[in-house]
Parts: sequence; C-alpha cells; structure tokens
Amino acid sequence: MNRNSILPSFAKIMMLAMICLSIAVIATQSTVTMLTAHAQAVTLDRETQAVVTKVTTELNKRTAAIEKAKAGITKSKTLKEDEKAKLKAVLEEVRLTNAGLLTKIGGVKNAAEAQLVALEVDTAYEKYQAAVGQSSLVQDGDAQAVVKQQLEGTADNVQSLIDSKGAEGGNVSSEQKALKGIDQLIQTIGAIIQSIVALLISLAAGDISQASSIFQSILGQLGLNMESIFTAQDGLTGLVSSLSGSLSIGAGQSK
Amino acid sequence: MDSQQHKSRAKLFVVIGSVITIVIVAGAAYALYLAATTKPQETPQQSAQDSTAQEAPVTEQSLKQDLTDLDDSITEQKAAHDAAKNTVNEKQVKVAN
Repeated sequence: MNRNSILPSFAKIMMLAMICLSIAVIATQSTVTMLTAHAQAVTLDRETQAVVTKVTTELNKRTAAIEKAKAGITKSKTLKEDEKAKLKAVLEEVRLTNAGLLTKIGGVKNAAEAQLVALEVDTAYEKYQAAVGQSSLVQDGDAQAVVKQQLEGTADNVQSLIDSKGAEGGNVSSEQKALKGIDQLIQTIGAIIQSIVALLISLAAGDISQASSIFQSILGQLGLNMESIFTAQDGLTGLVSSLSGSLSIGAGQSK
Repeated sequence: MDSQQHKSRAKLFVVIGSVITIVIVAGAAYALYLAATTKPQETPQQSAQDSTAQEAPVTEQSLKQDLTDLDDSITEQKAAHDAAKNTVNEKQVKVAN
C-alpha cells in the first residue's frame, strides 16, 4: 500500500522535473535566439544609418548648391527675365528631385531600402551637376558682362579726355590709336560673352548628356575672355595715367 | 578594349570642345557683325540724347573712380570664374555601395 502510494508521487516529481527542465531549455534557447536577432538588428541599423547619413549629407550639399545657384541667377544684372526664369526652372526641377530623395531616405527601414535610394541619388547626380554647372557658368558670363559695361563706360570717359586734349591742340594720335584698339577688344569681349550666355541658355531646354566636356570648353573660353578683360583694363589704366599726367583735368575742367 | 574606349572618349571630347569653340567664335562674330551694322542707326538717337541730356563732366577723380569700380568688378568676376571652375571640375562622390 505504502509502496503503491510512493510510486505515483515519485513519477509526478520526475514529470514535474522534466517539465521544469524543458521550460528552462526552451527559455534559454529563446533568449539566445532573441539576443542573436537583437544583435543582427543592431548591425543592420548601423549599416542602414551609415548609408542614410551619407545620402542625407550629399543631398543637403546639393540643396545648398542649388539654392546658391538660384540666388546667383536672381541677382544677375545682365540676364533677361525670361532667361532667369528658364535657368531657375531647371534648378527647381533638380531641387524637387532632391527633396523627393530626402523624403525617401528619411523613410527607409533597412539597409536594402537605403541602398536603393543611394543608387537613385547617384543617378540623379548628372542632372544636378548639369544644372549647377550651367548656372555657375552663366553667372561667370554675367559677371564678365558687368565688367564689359564698365570697360565701355571708362573707355567713353577716356575718349572725352582725348577729345579735350585734342581741342586744346595737343597731340593725341597715339592715345587715340591705343583707345581704338581697346574699344575693339571690348567689343570682342562683349560678343564672346553674348555668344557663351546664349549657348548656355539654349542648353537649358535639352538633355545634357555630355555636360562635363561641354562645360569644360565653355569654361576655357570664359578664361580666355577674362585674359582679354585684364588686357583692356591694363590698357585703360595706362591711358588714364598717361592722359592725367599730360592733361590738367579736374575741378577746373568741369567748371 | 579599355585603351580603345579611352581613345574614342578622348576623341569625342576633342570633337565636342572644337564644336563648342566654333559655336562660340561664330556667335561672337555674328554679334560683332550685328553691332557693326546697327551702330549707324543708333548714332542719330545718341546725338539726340546728347543734345538733351546733361552728362557729368569727366574729371581726374571720376576717372580714378571708374578704374576703382572696374577693379572691384573684375575682382568679383574672378571670384565668379573660380566658383564656376570649382563647380564644373567637381567630381562625383558615389553614395551607394
């Protein structure tokens, strides 16, 4: 009797022990699995975060460059309103693409999604580069156009001095000849600027596939034109110096 | 294969560069032609303006100011050219792995 009553109790204890052991094993395994999953999640997040940071930095840099380009076009002193509008429309299109990509990268949930956006950002680079490159070259041309206007004004004033000296009976033939050469140079400078700006603005309507090589050529032309500007400036400075030394100009003349 | 691709790419750049230069020079020549042919029409208008408008007299001071203003604008232009150079020469930094 006693033996019979002890046996079921022992079996119950053994069963309970087995259950407890199973629970312990399952719990341990689950914890290990959970810890591994957590560790993977942390790795994935870091990876994703790195791509997100890289992409966001690049997009913010592009946005700043686009805004700067737009401000430069707005400030332009020689561009016509329709030309400004055309250039700004190109920049605005790129800005919108950029803004869309910023929204996309802000919503990614894993590294794979982040990579997809990163690829889109890389693909969008050409259009961005073409838009800001075009705008910066137009601003370069615009700055040259402002200088050309000032060169013309100064040349006109130098002509007035030459006329005054001629009227007083002075020999101004060499100065007149030098000024004629400078005038021609200024006209050439102006013609090249006009041609470059027209070419750049005409690119706004088309798809710029070889933007980089086209821009390099235009940049080279603008560089050569800048050298001509320096030559004209030196010529006018020399003439002013020569005429000021030989002419009594100043308050007395204006009265 | 790479060398051939490089050569044809270089040729393409040379062709594009030459075309751009021709376009700019032709455009400049046309602009000069237009300036030369339209000048005689502008002269009577200019004379009429000269007879009515009182222009400020040219003085040594005003000429010095002209040269200073010109120098300032050239400095600004140089900065614009350098900025354009930096933008055009910018190299793409790839963000995708």
